[in-house]
Amino acid sequence: MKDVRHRIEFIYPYLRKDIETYLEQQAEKGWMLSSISGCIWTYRRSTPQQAHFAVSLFAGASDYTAKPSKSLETFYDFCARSGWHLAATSGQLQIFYNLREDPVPIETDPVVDLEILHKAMKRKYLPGLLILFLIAVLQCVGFLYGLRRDAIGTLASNTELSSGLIWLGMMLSTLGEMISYAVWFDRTKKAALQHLKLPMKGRPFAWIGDLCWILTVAALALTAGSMDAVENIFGIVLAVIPLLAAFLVGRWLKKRHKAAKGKLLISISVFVVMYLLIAFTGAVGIIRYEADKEPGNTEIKSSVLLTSCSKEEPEGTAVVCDRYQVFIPKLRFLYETCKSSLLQQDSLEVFEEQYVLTDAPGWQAKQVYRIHNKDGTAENRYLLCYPDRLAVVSLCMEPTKAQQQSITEELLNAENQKAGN
Amino acid sequence: MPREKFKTLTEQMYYILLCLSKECYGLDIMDQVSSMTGGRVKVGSGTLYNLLEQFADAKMIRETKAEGRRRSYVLTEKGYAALDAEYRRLRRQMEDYQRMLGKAEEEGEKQT
Repeated sequence: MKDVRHRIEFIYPYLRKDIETYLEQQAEKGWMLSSISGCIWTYRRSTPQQAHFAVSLFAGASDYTAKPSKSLETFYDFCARSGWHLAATSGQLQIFYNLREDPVPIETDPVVDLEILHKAMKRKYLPGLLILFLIAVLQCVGFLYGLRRDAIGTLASNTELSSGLIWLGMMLSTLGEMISYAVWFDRTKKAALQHLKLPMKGRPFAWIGDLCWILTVAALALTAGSMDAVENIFGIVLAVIPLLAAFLVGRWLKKRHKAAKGKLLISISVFVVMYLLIAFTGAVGIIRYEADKEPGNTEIKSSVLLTSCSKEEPEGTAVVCDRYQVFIPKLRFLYETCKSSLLQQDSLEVFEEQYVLTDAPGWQAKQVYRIHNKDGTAENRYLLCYPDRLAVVSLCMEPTKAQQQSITEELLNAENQKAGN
Repeated sequence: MPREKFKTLTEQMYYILLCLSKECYGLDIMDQVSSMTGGRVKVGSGTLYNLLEQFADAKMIRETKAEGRRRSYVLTEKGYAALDAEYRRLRRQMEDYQRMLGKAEEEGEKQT
């Protein structure tokens, strides 16, 4: 029989009543909270008992100090005097238990209670949320800019799509959390000023944050499923290793006697350096991996929104069509977005080229656009608009009708081509 | 919280300051308030700790002795003034009550 149990708990520090009730239920079942490390809470088996729990936020406490400060120790002394003993601590969060039948609560004045709680929230939790929200907004703006500039590239890239979705979820959830806290604080302040017991339960607008997390996880699962193995491994390594390294360094530093701010700075630096290192080596690796792919193969990539098939013949091959890309939007409304994106590519402007609507029934497409140079000469490069797909084709000569027919068949079945054919 | 701090005192603030009219260890205040009020008013350890910090910051009390982590405090003149103002406020409330309801109560007692 296990004597120790670890659980992942996501808590909102200001909703203390929820945490207290949960811990009391666990104690009744014979599991007493013994330590907290990040979101991993450790419980030890004990005799089932009726213990009271109280959660306090101590503004000056930090995860990066080896020992509690003098003021925090004095606070513990005060709590111990009325039977409250420390069960576990994590940063500002201080969790106490009391085995007395009807103990005097740690906080008895709602006004003072709310002031202290708000002070602690303003010091760490809210700035953290705000920073995360601002980073998420910047990332979302970047994603939207990318979408506007190169819609097809963005929609076809699983990495960009999943990153955009994660940041969107992060932006909405952090915003939801901040609104939730603001509404909770406002209601609680009114209650406190009337000397009513604080309404500690309930998280207004909590569904915004929860919904966003669920959407993000679902989107991630969908996109990860359609990524190739190398991209998946790279994504996981990039997400996990820097965090793990920063966490381990933080824990190691915690045991050493140095200033809290210095330790925090070192942990953040470790995270940033690891992140950049992995991102750089990963990017180089992926570029080499892509370069190693033999030309002449059909490469099929599928995101949740778009399937893209591309083929490039090796130089010197005697074929009419030396390069094509086929884009199949999975949602109807993306068709026009993809079309405009292809018609307005930046590269066209750079090389002073433009697509001109052409009458070419041989391609059996709804519309055919052909690249024209500045001087009006036509290139053998086309944008073919079929009902369900768009194809960008580059030819090395003017095709005959039979060649057009053959290429069209390949384009309309591009997604069914086996990789390597 | 946007309110004029300590302009009016809550019951717990009032009794903590009252205890500190004589030099007293911070830790002992919880028991003193409880015995002074016959258990009617109880001050939580967190509330007491934070109020002592706030009173000291507002210079309403001052530290007199520190033995390790045990510290004793006593009221300052500013603290006395706050306590006195609260006492006067409460007395005025009692006098208003007496004026409005006291006579009616006396007459009610005579009739019975």
